[in-house]
Amino acid sequence: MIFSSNLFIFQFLPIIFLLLLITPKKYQNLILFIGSLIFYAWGEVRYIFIMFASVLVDYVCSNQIEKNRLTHKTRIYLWISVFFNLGMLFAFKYSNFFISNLNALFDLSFRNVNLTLPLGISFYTFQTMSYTIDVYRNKVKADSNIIDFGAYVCLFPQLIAGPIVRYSDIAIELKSRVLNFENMEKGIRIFLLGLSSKVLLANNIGMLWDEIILLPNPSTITLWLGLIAFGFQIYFDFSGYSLMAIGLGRMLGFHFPDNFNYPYISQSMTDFWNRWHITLGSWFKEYVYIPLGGNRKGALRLAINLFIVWFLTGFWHGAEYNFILWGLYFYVLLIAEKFLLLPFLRKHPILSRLYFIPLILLGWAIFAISDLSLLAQYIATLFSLTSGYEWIYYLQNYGVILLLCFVFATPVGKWVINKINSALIQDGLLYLSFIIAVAYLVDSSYNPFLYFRF
Amino acid sequence: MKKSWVAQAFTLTVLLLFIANMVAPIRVFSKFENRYLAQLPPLNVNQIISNQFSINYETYVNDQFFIRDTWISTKALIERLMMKQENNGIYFGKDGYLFDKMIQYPDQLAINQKYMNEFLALYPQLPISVMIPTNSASLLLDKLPNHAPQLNQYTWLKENASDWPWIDTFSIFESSKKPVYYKTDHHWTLYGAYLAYSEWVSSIGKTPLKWEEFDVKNAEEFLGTYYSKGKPSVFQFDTLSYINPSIVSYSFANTTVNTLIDESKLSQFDKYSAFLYGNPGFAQIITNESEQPSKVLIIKDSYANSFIPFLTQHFDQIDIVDLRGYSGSIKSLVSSQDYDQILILSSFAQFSSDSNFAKLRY
Repeated sequence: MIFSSNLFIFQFLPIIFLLLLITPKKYQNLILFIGSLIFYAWGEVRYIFIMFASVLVDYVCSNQIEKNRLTHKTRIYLWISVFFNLGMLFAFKYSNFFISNLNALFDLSFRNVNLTLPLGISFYTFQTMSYTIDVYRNKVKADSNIIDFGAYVCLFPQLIAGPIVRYSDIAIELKSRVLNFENMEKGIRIFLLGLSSKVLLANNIGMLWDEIILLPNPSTITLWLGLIAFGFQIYFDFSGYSLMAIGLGRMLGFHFPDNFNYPYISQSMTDFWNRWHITLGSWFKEYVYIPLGGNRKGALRLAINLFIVWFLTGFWHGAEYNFILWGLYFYVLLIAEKFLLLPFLRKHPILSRLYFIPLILLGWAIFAISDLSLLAQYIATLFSLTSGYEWIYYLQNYGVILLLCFVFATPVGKWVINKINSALIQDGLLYLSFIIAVAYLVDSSYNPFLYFRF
Repeated sequence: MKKSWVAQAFTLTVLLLFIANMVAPIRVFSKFENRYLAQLPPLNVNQIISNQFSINYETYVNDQFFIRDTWISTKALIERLMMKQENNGIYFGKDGYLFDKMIQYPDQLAINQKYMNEFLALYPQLPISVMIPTNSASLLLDKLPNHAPQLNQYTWLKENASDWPWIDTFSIFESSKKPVYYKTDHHWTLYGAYLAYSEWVSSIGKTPLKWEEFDVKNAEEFLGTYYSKGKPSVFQFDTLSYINPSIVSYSFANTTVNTLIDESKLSQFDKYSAFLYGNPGFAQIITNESEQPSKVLIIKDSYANSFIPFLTQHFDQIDIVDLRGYSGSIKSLVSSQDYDQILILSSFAQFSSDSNFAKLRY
């Protein structure tokens, strides 16, 4: 199930909250666990067993680590958990990638496995893995209650598209939290912001990208416009999902970490990655970069460590070569910034954006187009002077939505809203965008889910 | 922050719609959208395991959503405020013209091209004609929104259809003084159908009647498929013209009537379905009882429905196959009937997307 659907908003949500309201405190996590399983199983019933396996393996491993502290057994259980989680991710997400590469390389004919990617597997395997590692590192106590732990693993708000919530983020709230009016109110506001981002901005600007990528003979201007459209789409889609998740968590009494902080106002790629999908960046930092030695082992090791991190970051986004390329593209830029460009970029707010914006758009081309020959053709046209006039039509049709995207992707929107300084108008706008979002969901000709590959 | 009410308003709205969706009566057909709405899917283990239940149930929730028509109109209004010149793949052109947007040829087009070649190769000795009228957007270029991207279907036909016994209707349409396409519907007008008729009939050595010789009747306030799909908030009505020539009988699907026009449909929303009573898989018109009837076979889509009445003057027996609903064999039909003429008449939109053209070869 996805948040931006009438099924979720007008059936799942009221039912789960009504159930929670009448359930005594000690059974609330059970309701959340069961509700989350239904939420998860909705799209693919069979994969509910993956959920059970995830809960069970990490529950047993973490508790065995806890029980056998200071013995060599802790290592074994850690490796079981890591092996299991990465194994699941590998089996479901990457096996076809390796099968087709082996086939091509050695002229073999292994058959591809016919598996759809379980929704959100890249997110929850990272979450459960970080939990067992944290227990091993003695940062958190293993949860002895399997229902509570199950509720954490399957917690429907953060299950499918982030933010990557670590157990330590919500360990206390998992045991005692309150469904109260203040959390409800705050949560609903955040949820509505996310819903509007996804349904009104991302979906609408996404239609422009989806069309431009199909054009038989696009002009150069049109293709740049297409990248701008995609950049806005993925930002509002992804940050909208995160906001919906954070809002839903808050409604339930959880405080999830922020995931986006105006990434497009960045002055450098370094800055961008501190603002984009923050929980993923900090996960890789905590569980890959620092264990590898981080920046403490000299420049060469630093370069190698960063290479590993960015290779993995790219590959995490999808089992295709373009995602690896995308990760390495950032690796090159980040290294250049680290050793050379950063001081300059930080001093020049305008020049730095003339560097940042075209390059981030070029990055989106690599991200969005998996077919490498199509990608090469797209990039070639970006730097040629191919004429054509479709962009005039597109600007007229998408001008309003582009303007809105610009306003809300930068602090301009917040500034305007604060300037209005009237609760009535602010609330009115938020409520109005909710109603319009519902209208778009009812007439849902276009509502893609972008993370099926993550 | 001063007193805020949006959370309460949201909660109330969700609860009210939750209840309204439960108690509101289930609708079967939407006049507004001119289509059947999804019903509650059957709940059983197979449906759940195959995930069909969840997919169908979500469609059902959306289709049966409380005051659905109002929500759709709201969306259309917002789109208009954003100065969109299209909705749901329909361009809002100039002078009230609506067009279907096509920026890429469907993959089915090349497949159907192959099927057509195979079909023609099967019957080299038979007099076959192929007519593939384009959509209105390919003809009325100046009525499209400025710089709107659009493939011209005629370009494809010029490059590919000339290998076939192709009747080029486009060139005569270009010089027509009267409108050959509806503003709100994907079909050609009766006059467009007449021009196509006169072109084809001439090409097979017969003399077409003059337009003035037909008794043309009108049904006003016609809104077609482009309207239903695009739901423009500003639109112009079309007039649906028709002729109702006298015939001996028209039979289809266990029904026999003695008219080609289902007059009851002319006062309803879906007026175009008055022609030939819609699209039965197989139908037969007898215009004249004769010892040695002249026979024609039309393999067609709905474009032919307004076209076929013009043929009653020229053939004693008109057999009509709509591949979408036809389960018989074309081969045995052709070998049993000894047709004088065979015409394949399909709109480009249908020809480029309908997988039923595979049946041509059987």
